[in-house]
Amino acid sequence: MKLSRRGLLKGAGVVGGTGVAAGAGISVASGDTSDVDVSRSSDWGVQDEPEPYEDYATHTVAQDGSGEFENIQDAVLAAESRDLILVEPGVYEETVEIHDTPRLTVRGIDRNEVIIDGGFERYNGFNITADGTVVENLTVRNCNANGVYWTNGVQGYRGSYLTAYNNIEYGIYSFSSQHGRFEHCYASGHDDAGFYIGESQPANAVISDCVAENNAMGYSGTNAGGNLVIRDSVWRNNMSGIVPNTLDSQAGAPQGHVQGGIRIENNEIHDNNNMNAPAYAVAYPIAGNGISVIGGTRNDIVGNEIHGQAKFGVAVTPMMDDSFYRPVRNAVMRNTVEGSGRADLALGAPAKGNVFSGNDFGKSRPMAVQMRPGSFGDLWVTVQMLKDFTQSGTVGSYPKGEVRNQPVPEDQPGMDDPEDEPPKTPIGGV
Amino acid sequence: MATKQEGDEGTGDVLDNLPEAKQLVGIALGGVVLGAYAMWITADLLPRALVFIFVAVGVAGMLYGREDGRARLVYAGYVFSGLLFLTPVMMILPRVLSAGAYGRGVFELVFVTMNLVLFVVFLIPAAIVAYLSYRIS
Repeated sequence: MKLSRRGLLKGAGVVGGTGVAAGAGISVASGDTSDVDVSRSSDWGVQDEPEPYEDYATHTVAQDGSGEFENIQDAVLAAESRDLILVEPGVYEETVEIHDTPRLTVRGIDRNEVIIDGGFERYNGFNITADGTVVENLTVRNCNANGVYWTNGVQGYRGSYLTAYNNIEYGIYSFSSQHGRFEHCYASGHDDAGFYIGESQPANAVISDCVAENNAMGYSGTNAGGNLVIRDSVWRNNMSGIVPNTLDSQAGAPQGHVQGGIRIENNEIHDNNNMNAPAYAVAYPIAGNGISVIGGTRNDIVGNEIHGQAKFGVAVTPMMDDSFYRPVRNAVMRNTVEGSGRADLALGAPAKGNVFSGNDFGKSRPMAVQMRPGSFGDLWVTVQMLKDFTQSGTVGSYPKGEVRNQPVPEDQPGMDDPEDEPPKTPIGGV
Repeated sequence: MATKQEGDEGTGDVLDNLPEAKQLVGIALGGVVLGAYAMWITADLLPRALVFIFVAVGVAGMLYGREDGRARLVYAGYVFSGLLFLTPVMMILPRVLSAGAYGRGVFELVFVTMNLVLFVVFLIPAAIVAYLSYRIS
C-alpha cells in the first residue's frame, strides 16, 4: 500500500466538506441497503478437496548429498508437471523460482526444520508464476521482500502448513491470482502483511486455520474480493488485524465492487495493538483495530470474536488515495466485540449503505449504529485516521519495530505424513 | 466616526426584547447543542447519555440564570470555546490511556507532530470564539 500527498490533501478536503453534517455524530440515512446482508456470500468459500495426482515422480533434495539434488531450484528445473519435490531438513540459502512447470508440489519433510533463508540478501523465498503450484510443510524467513509469492495471474495455488517469519514485506502472498488456498499457515514479523491476497476479483480463494502475529497487518488485501473467505483463523498481536482495502495503485479499485468483497467469518481477533511490530506507514493509522475495512465494498464480517483492541474492534472507514472512496454496502453482523479502547464498532463518515446488525458489543461510533442502516457515519473516526495517515505518510515518523528484531516463532504443527502423502491439486477441480 | 442613532440596538438589547418563550427556546437549544457537542467529543471515554444530560442541563441552567441575553450569549460562547479546546484532548486521551496496550510510552504516543498540529487547529477557533465572547461582554 502506498500513500500520496495529493490523496491525503484531497481526503482532507472531502472530510472538511462533510464535517458540518457529521459534526454531532448525527447520521443521515443514505443509499439503498436492500442487498446488504451476509447471506449474499453464504455459499462462498466452498472448495472441493485437493485431488491426489496418480502419475507423478518424487525428487528428493538433501544438503548432505543423500538425495537427488542438493538444492531445491535444481530439483524444480528437473521436475515435470505433477511431480513432488521432497526436501530434507536443512537451511537452504536460495530463492526458488517456479515459472515453467505447472502443478509442482514442493514439500518439506519437517515444517520447522526445512528452512528457506533469504539472509536479508535475496528478494523472495519462493517466486511462483506457474499455475497449480503447491508449497507445503516448510519455513521461509529473512527475505528482503516476500516469503512465498504467487503472482502474475496464477490459476490455482496452495500454501499448506507453511511458516513465514521476519521477511521484510509479506509472508504468504498471492497477487493477481485466482483459485487458491492458504491453510494451517503461520506468519509473523512482516512490515506489511503476514497474509496477502490482492488485486484479484473474483479471487475464488480461502484462508483458513492460520495464525498471524507481530505483523504490521495480519491480513491485507488490496482491491481483492469475490468468493474470497477468511475464516477459522487467529489474528493477534499485530499492529492491525484484518485489513481489506482500496488503493488506486492497483487495478480494480474500489475493493469489492466487481464481484463483492471478502467474507470474514468465525475468526478470533484480539490485541492487535502491537506498536513494536514492524510497519510501513499505512499500518499506523489503523493500529489498534481488529478489522479495518478501508474504502471497501460489500465485505461481509460475520460471527467473529474480537476483543482487547486498543482502538476499534471493527472499523469501516473511507479511503483517501488519488480518489476518495467511501465504504459502501459492507455488512457487520453477529460478531462478538468487546473491550475496545474507543469503540467496538465504528463507521467513519462519509459512508453509504453499510449495515451493522445482530452484533454483541458495547460502544459504537456513531451511537446506536445498529439501529441506523445506511448511516452516514461519524466524522470523528475519519478525522483520527486522517490525522494518523498524515503523521505516518507525510511527516514520516511513527512508533514501530524492526523486522530483524521480531521474535522467532515457536515450532508449528506440521503435516502428518509428509513422506508418503501423494501430491495433490491446489484445490479440487483446478 | 459613526454615532449611535435612535432605534439602533446592540446584540444584548435584541436578545432582551425577545418574547420570553423564544428566550426559553433559545436557552434550551443552547443547552442541547452544547450538550450534543460535548457528548460527541467525549464518547470514546464517557457515557453519552450522562455527558449529554450533565452538560445540556447544566448549560441551560446557567444560561437561564444570566441576567440578560448578552450575558447568555457570552456564557455560551465561553462554554463552546472550552469545548473546542477540549476536542483534540479528547481525541488523543484514549491513546494515552491505552499506552500500555500499545506497548509504548505515553510521551512517545502523544508528542507526535500531527497531535500538536491538531491542538493548534482547534486552539485557533477556540481562541477566536473566546475573544468574540469577551468583546461582546
